[in-house]
Amino acid sequence: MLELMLAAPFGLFLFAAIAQNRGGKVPLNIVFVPVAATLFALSFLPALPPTTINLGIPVELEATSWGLVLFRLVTGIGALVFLYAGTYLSEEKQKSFWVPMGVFFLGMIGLSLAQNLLGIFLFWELTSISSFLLIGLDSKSDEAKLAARRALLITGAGALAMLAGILLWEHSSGASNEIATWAILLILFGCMTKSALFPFHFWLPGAMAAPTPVSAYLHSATMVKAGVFLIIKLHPMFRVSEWWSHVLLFSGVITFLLGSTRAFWAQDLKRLLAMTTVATLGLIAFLVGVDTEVSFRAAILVLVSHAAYKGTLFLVAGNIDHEANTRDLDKLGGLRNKMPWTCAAAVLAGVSMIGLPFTGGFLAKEWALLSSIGDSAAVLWALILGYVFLGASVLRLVVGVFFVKPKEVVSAHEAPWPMVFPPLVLSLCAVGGYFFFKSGTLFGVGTEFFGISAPKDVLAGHGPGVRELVWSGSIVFLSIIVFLFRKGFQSFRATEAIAERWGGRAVFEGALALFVVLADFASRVMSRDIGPRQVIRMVLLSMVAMFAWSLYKDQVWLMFSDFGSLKILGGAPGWFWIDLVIVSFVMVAAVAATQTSSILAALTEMGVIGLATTLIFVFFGAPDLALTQLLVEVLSVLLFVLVVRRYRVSGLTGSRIGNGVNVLISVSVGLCFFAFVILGNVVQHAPSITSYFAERSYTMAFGRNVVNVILIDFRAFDTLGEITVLGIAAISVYALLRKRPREIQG
Amino acid sequence: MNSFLFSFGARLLVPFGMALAYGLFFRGHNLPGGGFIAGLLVGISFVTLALSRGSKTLDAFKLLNPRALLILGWIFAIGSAVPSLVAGVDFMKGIWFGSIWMPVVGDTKWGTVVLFDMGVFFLVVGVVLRIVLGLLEEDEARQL
Repeated sequence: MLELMLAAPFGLFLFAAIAQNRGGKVPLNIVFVPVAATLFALSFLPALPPTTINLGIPVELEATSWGLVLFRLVTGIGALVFLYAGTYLSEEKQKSFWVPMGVFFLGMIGLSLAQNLLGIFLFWELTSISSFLLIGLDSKSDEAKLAARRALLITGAGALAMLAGILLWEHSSGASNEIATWAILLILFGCMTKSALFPFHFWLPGAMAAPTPVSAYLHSATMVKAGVFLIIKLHPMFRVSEWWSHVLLFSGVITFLLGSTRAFWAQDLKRLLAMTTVATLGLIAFLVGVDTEVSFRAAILVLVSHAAYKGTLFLVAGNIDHEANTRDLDKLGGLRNKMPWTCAAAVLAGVSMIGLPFTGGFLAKEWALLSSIGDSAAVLWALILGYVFLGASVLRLVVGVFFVKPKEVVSAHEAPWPMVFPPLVLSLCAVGGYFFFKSGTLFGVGTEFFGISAPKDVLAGHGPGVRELVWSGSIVFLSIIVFLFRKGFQSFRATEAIAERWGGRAVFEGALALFVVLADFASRVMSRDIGPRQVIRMVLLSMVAMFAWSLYKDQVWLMFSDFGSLKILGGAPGWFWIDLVIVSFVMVAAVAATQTSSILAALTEMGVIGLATTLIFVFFGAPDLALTQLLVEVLSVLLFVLVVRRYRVSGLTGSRIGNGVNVLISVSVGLCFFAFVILGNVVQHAPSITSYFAERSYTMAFGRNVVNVILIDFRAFDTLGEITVLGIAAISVYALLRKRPREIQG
Repeated sequence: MNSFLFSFGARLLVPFGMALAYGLFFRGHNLPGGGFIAGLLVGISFVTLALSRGSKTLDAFKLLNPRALLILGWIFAIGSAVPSLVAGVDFMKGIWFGSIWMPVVGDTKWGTVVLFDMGVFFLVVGVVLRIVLGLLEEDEARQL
C-alpha cells in the first residue's frame, strides 16, 4: 500500500512531464486534485503495513502517526492548492509548473513516510530541487532567479551537511560521544536551513517571488515544515545531546522575535505572511527545545494549526493580488464588500491565528504559553512580545485590507470559485481544529515519542487552565492596542531597513560575491598567458607531487634495497625475449617521438607505443584490455588528427630553458610511474578480490568473461554512472564546439 | 583526405566492423568482447567513413543520429533495471529470460544484463559519433 502511495505522485510527475512535452493545453489539476484527494482519504485506512523499497540503499516506509500528520497536510492542502493553481496561474506559467510540482509532491510524501535517515535524505533533496524550480518559475524575473538560487544554495548546503551528519551518525552507532554530537549538530544544521531558522531565515521572504500557490503550499504549509517535522521526529533520539536543545532554544526564540516584529513592519502582503511564517517556525523549534512533554505537544499543535490558517491567508493574498493587482498594504483597504467570500476566509483564518477561543490556533497558543510559563522570565517575555506583534500583523492584514477605508479606491471583484473554495475550506479547518485538537487525537503522536501512556482526557488535568487563558487574552488585547497605534511604530521601519541590509542575507551575499571574485581572479590568472603546453605542465607537476608524496609516505625506497627479489617480469624464461622486444619497441618509439619536429610523425610514434602496450596485454592474458586499448588507440589517432590540425604548431620544442623544464618534468613523471608500478606489484593493502569474482562470475552471473561480468552485472550500477558521465561529456564537448565559431566571429 | 584508397577502405570498414561488432557483442559474456568494445568498433567504423567522405555521408543512416543514440543508450541501461525493481530483488540484479539460438554466435542467454550491455553499446557509439562529428562539422564549416 505504501509503495502505491509513493508510486502515485511519481505517476503524476511522469504524466505531467509527458503532457508538458506534448504541449498539453488542459490544466493538469484535473489529474492532480483527485490523486491528492484519494491519497488523503487512503491515509485513514486502519492498517498500513510497513515496507522496504530497495534502491541500492534501502528506503524503509512506515505510516507512523507523526508521519501521517505530515502526509495528511501534504495531500489535503495539496488537493486544495492544486485546484487553486489551475485557475490562478496563467496557461503559460502552468507549462512549467506541474512537473516540478509533481516532483515536490513525491518528495514530500516520501519524506512523510520514510523511516530511515538515508531514505529521508533522498526525499529531502527532491523537495529542495523542486522548490528551486518553483521559486524561479518566472524565468524572466531577475528577482525570482536570485531568490531561487539563494534558496537552493542555503538549503542545498544544509542538505549536504545533513548527509555528512547522517553518515557520521550511522558510523557512531548512536553512542553518546563526540562524533555523535557532531552528527547531531550537522543534521540540525540541515533542518535549520530548510525551516528558515535564524541565522538562515533570510531565504524564505525572498522565496515569495514564487507564484502564490507555491508560497502557500511549499513555503508555508509543507516544505518549510519539513525541517521542524524532522526536528520533532528526531527529537527523542537526539535529545541526549545538550547542544540539540540549546541551539533549538536560542535559534527558535531569535527567529520568533525577528519574524514577528519584521512582519509587523512589512509593507508587502506576501512579505508580511512570509515573516509570520518565519516566526512560527522559530516558535516550533523553540517549543521542541524546551523539551518537556507539554511543550512537545504544543509544538505539534502549532505546526498543524499554522498549516491551516497560514495556507488560507496565502491563498487570500493570492486572490487579492490577482483581483486587485497590488499587494501593497498601504494601498489596500475596504475589500469586504468587493470580495465577500475571500473576506470570510481571511477572517476565519485570522481569528484562528490570533487565537480567539474555540479556534485551532487558540489551543495551540494556550499550550505554547503553558509550556513556557515557569521557565526563565526573559524567554516568556520574548514569547509574549513575539505573540503581540504576530497578532498585530494579522490585524493589519485582515482588518487593514478588508475593513479599513483605503486612501484611494481599489478596483477589485470576487475571484472565481476554484480560488475561493480552497481558502474557505482551509479556514474552516483552521477554526474547526479546536474540536479536533480537543479530542486529543494528535497527542497520540507525543505519547508515541515519549513512551508515556497519556490519559485520553489529558486536557482536563494537565492542560492549560485559567492562567493561560488570562495570558492569552491579554496578548490579544495588546495586539489590538499595537495595531491601533501602528502609525506610532512607523519610525521603527528604519530598523527593518538596517536588518535587511546588514542581516544574515548580507553575510551570505557577501560570501557569495567574494567567492565569485576569487574564482574570477583564479580563472584570469590561469588563462592569461597559458597555452595548452603550460596546462599540461601544471597537470603533470601536480600529478608528480601527489605521487611523490604518497611514495614518500610509504617509504618506497626501502623496497628498492631488495631489488633483486622483485618479480617484475612474469612468466616462463621464454617470455623474457618477447618482453625485451616489446620494451625496446616502446623505448625506440619514445625517443624518436622527442626527436621529430613533425607533429604527425610524433603522433605516429605515440601510436607505436600504444600498440606495443597492447601487445603486452595480449601476452599477459588480458585480451579484453588489449582489444579496448587497440580501439582506443585508433580512436585517439583519429581525434588527434582532427584536433591537432586546429593548432598552428610552431615546432615541438621551445627555448633551451623550456626544453630543460620539459625534460625535468618528463623524467620525474617517468620515475614516479616506474616506482608506482613496482609498488603496485609488491604492496597489497587489501585482500585481493580477484578470486571472489573469478569464482562467482559463472555461478552467479552465468558468464565466463570476468571483466565483462563485473562491468555489466556485478558493478552495473557503477557502469551506469560512468556511461552517464560519458554521455554528458560528449554533449558538453559538442556544445563547446558549437559555441566557439560564434564567439570568434563576435 | 580525398585519397581513393582511404575512402574505399573506409566503405569496406563499415559492414566489416558491424559484423565483427555483432560477434564481439554476443560472445562478450564468455570471451573477450562486450558492449563497450563493440560500441567503440562500430563508432570508429562510421567515423572513419565520415572522415573520408565528409560528415554529410552519415545522414543517409537515419538511426545514426548521435542524440538519438545517447537517449537510446540511457533508456536501455536504465530500463534494464526495471525488472529487478518489479521483482523486488536487489536493484539492477541480473534477471535471465532464457536462451535463444542466434546466427554465428549460437545459443545466447538473454537477460536484463544483456539489455544493459546494449545500453552501453548504443551510448558508446553515440559518444564517439557526437564528439568526432562535432569536430568534423566545425572543421568543414571553417573550410567553407
